[in-house]
Amino acid sequence: MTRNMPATVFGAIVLALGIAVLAEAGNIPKGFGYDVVGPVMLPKVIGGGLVLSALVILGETMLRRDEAAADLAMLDFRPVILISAALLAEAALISRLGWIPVVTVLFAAGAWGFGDRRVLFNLLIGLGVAVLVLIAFRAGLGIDLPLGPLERLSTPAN
Amino acid sequence: MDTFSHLLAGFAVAITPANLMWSMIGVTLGTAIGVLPGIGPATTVAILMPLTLGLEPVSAFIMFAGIYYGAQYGGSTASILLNTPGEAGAMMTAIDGNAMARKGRGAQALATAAIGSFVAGTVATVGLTFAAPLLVAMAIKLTAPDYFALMVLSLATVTAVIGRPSGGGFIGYGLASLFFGLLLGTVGLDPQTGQARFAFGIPELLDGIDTVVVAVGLFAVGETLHVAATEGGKQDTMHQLKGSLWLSRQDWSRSWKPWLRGTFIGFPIGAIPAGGSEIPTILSYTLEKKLSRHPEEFGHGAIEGVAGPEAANNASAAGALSPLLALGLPTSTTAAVLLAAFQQYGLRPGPMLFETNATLVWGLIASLYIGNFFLLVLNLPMVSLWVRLLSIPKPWLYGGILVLASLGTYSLNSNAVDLVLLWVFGFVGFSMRMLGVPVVPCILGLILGPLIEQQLRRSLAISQGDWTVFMTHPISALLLSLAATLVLWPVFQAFTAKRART
Repeated sequence: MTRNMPATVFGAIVLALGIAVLAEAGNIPKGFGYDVVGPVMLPKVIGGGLVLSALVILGETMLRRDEAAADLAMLDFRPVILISAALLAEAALISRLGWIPVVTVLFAAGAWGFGDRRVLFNLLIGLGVAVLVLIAFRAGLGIDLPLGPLERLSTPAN
Repeated sequence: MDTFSHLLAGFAVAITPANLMWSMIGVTLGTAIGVLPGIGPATTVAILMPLTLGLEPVSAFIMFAGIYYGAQYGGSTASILLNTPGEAGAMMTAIDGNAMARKGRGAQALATAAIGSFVAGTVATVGLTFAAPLLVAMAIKLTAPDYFALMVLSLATVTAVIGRPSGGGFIGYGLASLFFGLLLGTVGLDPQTGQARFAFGIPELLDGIDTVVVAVGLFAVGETLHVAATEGGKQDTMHQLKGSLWLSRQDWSRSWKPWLRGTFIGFPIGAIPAGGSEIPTILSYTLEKKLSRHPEEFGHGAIEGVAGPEAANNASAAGALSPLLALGLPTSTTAAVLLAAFQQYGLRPGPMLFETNATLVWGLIASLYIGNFFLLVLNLPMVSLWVRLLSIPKPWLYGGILVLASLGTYSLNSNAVDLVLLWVFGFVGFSMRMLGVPVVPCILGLILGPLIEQQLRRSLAISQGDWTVFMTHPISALLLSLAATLVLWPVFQAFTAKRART
């Protein structure tokens, strides 16, 4: 376990990605005869390029100490996990619940991640921001953000 | 002259009341988002892009021009008052700008930045007005192999300059970032054969990955996660503005030369690939320090150290527009996002755009003059509003940035898959920041990849499969060998230099 650990891990990930790209590129159907390059060539070049960059990274890592990388032990990963969860929940639920609830939660999660522990208060502010954006976009720009269950209220049955 | 009549026609388009209003809204919003600490111009333009979706192209681009200049300017406020530069181009401004703010001269620092931005922006826009038609005249002569070589060269410069070992970077990191971007660019249906590439059966991926989603993810979400993991909600100390905004006679006489020098450094460097805004601001700062009669004041609040780099920063923004409009070649991340905006409207910047869409191009150029003027008249009176934006507590600020990021992403195509991608790129951006991997090559690779592939296939279609076409065209041969040298030299250097030391 040296200080070069992060760079080595990164190099390994890039190497794996390059190999995966090369493998997947083989599955792309070939183009037509008159198209000399075809759709496969660039992906293959990219796969090769990724493998090459990985080798350069691993080589560089072995040859010198990496001073630029942050000390991973100093990092606080809890806010990262919380904010990630809120973003993914937004992606999963925005079609079903609409813009307002998911964005309210996203705002509050962001605020919590930055050390603000007033959950209810921040949910209220998030709600205000979400509603304001929704109205501005609907009325001002004609861009419809999803309403979710509120859809039934906005379009009166006739 | 032809340019004048075109420019006049452009003003006729830009000076309609509606377009003046869009320009003003663009400048104000661009500044408002650009002011937020940690948000650079590329992110600002990307986040605000959906706002223009409902407009017709000419108005949309006039608003964009305002956002672009506003964002470029807004960064200086955060650098001066909070010492939190949102992007590399604002870093030099932060040194003396923040020192001036600590000494209670923050107002003067903001004023010299605002007036300097106006002067530089105007002079550089004049430069753009005359350089763009010249570049177009040249560009018409370029063939597909030349375009291919030009784009390869611009990727090579970005990768080599940003990842160079002497700058503390790994060339391998730059290369990995570049190829990752190129990979993202291939996702979706191949435009020539209709074959799906790397879509993994997800229908939303067939249309390709939006540059805006990647830019917002890598920059805005990546930065948010990074700050959350490192500093958390610790509030920056802000220096209050005291006294009048007016510059004293001494301030004026110390500012005007750096403004002009900064302009002449910023414009040409902004126009070359990988020039961006970082290098011209550093050059301007070092030059002012060298020319100054009081070099010891630099770092302790020398007004020249704000005036020069700020002018260079804004001039480079106009410089970057010349190759973007005339050749379709983005030289900075912000230009890459602007190119994505053009593509959103089905427009392809380049020599043809000047032919087919002259009103749009010249209306856009004319609106740069107007936007620049609005920037000056709005910013000095509104400075207290920007200051209030800066004092938003960090938890709310970053909560708001997350909301803006998902708004910008979701409203593009109204699909939830883009939000998943937003998180993915946010996490990738976070990891890249942790390791010090440059983000810029990735963005440029993403936007240039498909264009490069297109020109490559076009070249080989013309030459009927003969690969020597890139060597028999002299311009292409020259540019490609330059590109190869740029990338291979630091790799070679990295290995030989270290071996010599150990």
